Amino acid sequence: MKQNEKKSGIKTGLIINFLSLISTVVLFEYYRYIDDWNLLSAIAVSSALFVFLLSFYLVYGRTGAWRQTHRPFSKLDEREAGVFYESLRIAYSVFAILSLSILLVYAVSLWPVSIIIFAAMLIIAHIMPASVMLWKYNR
Amino acid sequence: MDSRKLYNRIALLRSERGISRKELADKIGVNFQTVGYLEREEYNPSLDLAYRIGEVFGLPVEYIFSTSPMKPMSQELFDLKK
Repeated sequence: MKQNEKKSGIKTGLIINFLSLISTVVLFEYYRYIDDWNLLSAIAVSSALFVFLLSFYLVYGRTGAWRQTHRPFSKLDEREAGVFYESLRIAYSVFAILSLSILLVYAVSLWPVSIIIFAAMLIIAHIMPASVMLWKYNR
Repeated sequence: MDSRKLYNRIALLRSERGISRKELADKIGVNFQTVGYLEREEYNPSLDLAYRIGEVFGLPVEYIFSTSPMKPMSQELFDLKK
């Protein structure tokens, strides 16, 4: 029972983490597009970024997922290595589809790719294996 | 190829000998969570790991692992007596 609650808590945390990252990017892009930077827009972007950083610490830091996906392969036991390999495989597929979709949207809409979207893609590429691992294998 | 489910007596042998999951994990060189996965029969060990477990308990691998559900120890003893 407690295990299931913990598992659903981590899944909720993962959703919040990704949504807050998307919100940060969308808000930043929106205010950049309308070219209206003021205190309110700064608070909105900062709040989304704060939620992202907080959920990042709680989901990846506290669970040890970040440490596990950044340990040398030789330090993993055979089950962990198998889990890591499978997580990487899925993460690679998801990231490829996601990045191609975003590039397609930008190409069709003729928007310039900003540094913030580039940074967000790098962050997603980096956290995706740990996210897949937590979503699929966490107990 | 789908691998078959492997049944085992790790939990029984571990509690019989009063070894914690952490102690067993250290002896066989894996994370303690992996011992949990093995005990719940959610993970099939490699041959190397199976032999290491056998060496810790001083028992042959076929006594610890099986491809069919294992009989309770009381049943095994009763069968031996017969």
